[in-house]
Amino acid sequence: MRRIFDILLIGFILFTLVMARDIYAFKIYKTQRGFDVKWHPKVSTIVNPSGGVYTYSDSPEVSYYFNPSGAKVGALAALRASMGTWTGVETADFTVVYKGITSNSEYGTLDYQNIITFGPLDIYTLALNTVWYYSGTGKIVDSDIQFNIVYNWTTNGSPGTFDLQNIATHELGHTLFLGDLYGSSDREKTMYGYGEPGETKKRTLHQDDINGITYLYPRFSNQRWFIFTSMDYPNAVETMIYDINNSGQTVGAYIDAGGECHGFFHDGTTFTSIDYPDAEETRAYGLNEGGEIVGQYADAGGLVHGFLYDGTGFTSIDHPDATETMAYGINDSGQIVGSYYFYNYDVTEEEIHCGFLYDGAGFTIIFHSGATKTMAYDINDSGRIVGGYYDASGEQHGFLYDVLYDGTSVSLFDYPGGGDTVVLGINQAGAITGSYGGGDEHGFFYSKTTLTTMDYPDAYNTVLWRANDNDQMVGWYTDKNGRKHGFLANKETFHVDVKANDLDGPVFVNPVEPVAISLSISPGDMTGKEADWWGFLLSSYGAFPLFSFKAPLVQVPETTLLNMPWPLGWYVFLFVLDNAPDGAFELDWYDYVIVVSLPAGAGLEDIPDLE
Amino acid sequence: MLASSVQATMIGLSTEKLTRDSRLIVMGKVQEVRSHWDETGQKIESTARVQVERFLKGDPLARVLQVVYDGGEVGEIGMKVSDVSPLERGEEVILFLKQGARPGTVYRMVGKGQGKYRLENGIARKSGFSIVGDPQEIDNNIPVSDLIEKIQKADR
Repeated sequence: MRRIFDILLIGFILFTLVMARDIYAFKIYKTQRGFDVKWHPKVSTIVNPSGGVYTYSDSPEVSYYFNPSGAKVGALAALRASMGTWTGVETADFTVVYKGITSNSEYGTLDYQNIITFGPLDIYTLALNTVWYYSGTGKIVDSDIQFNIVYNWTTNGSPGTFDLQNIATHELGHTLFLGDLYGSSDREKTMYGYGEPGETKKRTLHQDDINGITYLYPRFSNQRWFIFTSMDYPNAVETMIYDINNSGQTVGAYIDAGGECHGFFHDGTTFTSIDYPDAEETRAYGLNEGGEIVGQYADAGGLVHGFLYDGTGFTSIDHPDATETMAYGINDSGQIVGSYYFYNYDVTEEEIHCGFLYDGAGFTIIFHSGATKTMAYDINDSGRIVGGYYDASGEQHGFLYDVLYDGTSVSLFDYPGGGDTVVLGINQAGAITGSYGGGDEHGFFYSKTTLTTMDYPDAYNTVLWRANDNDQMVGWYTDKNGRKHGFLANKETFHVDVKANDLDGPVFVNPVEPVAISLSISPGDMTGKEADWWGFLLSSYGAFPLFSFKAPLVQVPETTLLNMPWPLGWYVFLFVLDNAPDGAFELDWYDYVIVVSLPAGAGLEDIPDLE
Repeated sequence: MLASSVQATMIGLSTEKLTRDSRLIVMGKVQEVRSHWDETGQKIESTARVQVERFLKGDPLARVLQVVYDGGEVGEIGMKVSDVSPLERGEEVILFLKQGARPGTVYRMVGKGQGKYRLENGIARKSGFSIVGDPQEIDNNIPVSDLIEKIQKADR
């Protein structure tokens, strides 16, 4: 009986997802043939060195170029904040990203480049959005937004003006193909069709906005699981790990039994201590793929200097004006970031604390306007720099300094509701790591649409310093005695994948075509553990169990389970594993694929049980 | 097919303002809609033939008007422009119209989607646009007879 209930329950859940347009208040738009107009997953190919080419789908990416002609100061930051608001919906799978400055002013032209411009429009129109799509699939291929230059756009919600971030967030909802709502219960939603000058409430999303975007771009990927391993330098009192490269090599610092601090390098199996000659203290903060290491050391007088270690010798790094200099990160081009400070004796004798970018020849100062201190912690090969700054009230905030695109653009990042955020690392894919929470620190990992708190199990504090491009992360945590330990987090390799005709779906087929439903399982460290195995078919014609049994988890290479045509209708092939081998259904690991069987010339309206 | 839903943001237009800015206001039925590339070949537009049942403002030139608006589908490509509320075959409407670029009986809607009311069961509704302005000043979900009375009052 319990099993029947579970089947009905999961059937209801999936049916709800499929039919969400009838349940939520949000509106969507269809092509004349009945397909949802939306952004489609980005399809990429990778060449396997041992032969063959793999094709895979990634999150839909809506990328905009910005033409600054006619825009006021602060417009780009407001637009990027709007993009970040939509990208930040954790239950949806897409990104809205800023790609850079453009001189393209061809608003509305089908040129496959999405642009945001300021220009003249008719007097009634504040902003206009033109979208091009394929009528046979609903796939959006071009979207341009233009703001009417004759109106007074501001970025602070001033009365009588139009707040750019407010309207841009609403516009980007349309870009993602959500429609307007007009009901009295819709007033607090970003997609409410009415607004007023000075309004800012559309900057943040209502749950119905989130439901709408989640319907169009659902996130079904398995939960990210990580296995944490504590790593301590032998016989050290405390250990901190600060960086990891794609080879799995790490660097950090440790406190020995005598209370002295040393840097270290770990090649994956062996620790090597790193000490700047004659230094009182050494810390190794960053390393690149070439094995170059940067960090800081304290001289005999206790003053701190940066250093570069190339495996054979040290080079001291000191900003010419600095009292003290710290080097935190290095990319594969040898560009180094860090911070330094000096005392401004000419004016108030105050401490001036700045970040820097050092290219081997000279220093570029990085200083966030209004900050009391700015620190640059990491740089990736694209030249994107991350760090933190303190505002006048003493609170710390993270930043992303986008050197790659326009050299001036800064994105600010605060962990939502977290307080005292600092961004410590950025990998080549642009995922950032860091910590938030001030005295009660937590690590975080932010990649595309996934913002995840990353805390070492049962730790009092966790600081996540860096992630490489292989889903490995490092940092340190404090135990119940207040002592620091390094850690390495590896993504659990458990993976379940169901495909139709080698695609993740939805797959549209003709009823006469056979459809190959395949399954692959990679249990990783869970291999051999007992589990319940479940298979279901949910369809226009009802829900049907395919199989259920108890068996150990094993590696299953891609295997075709079914290969047959399916009559007109919709079908969901669902495969579930649960790690409690008790015959009761639990949704621990799962994947599914949707197949729509549709004859030529038919529309979705012809499918039984789907409108 | 659902109503259009790609919108930008416009200044809200009251019935009085719509009436003043319109050359023609008609009540009628959409006979046919055809999408095509515009004269420049750069954009898609649609032309709807509207059978006029009643002229609420303006001098009648013909009982069948052509109303042009941006967007539509031609072959494998579609274009959707914000705040344009497409017309559908068989739809009963009240349209606020201005002269199109071409002379004769070709018109465009005033205020894009704001200039189109769909008539159903004696109620006039409009949608498919975002506006800045007081919702109380925008007539929506209004009895058709009340809307006509407002138009006639504003046209005096």
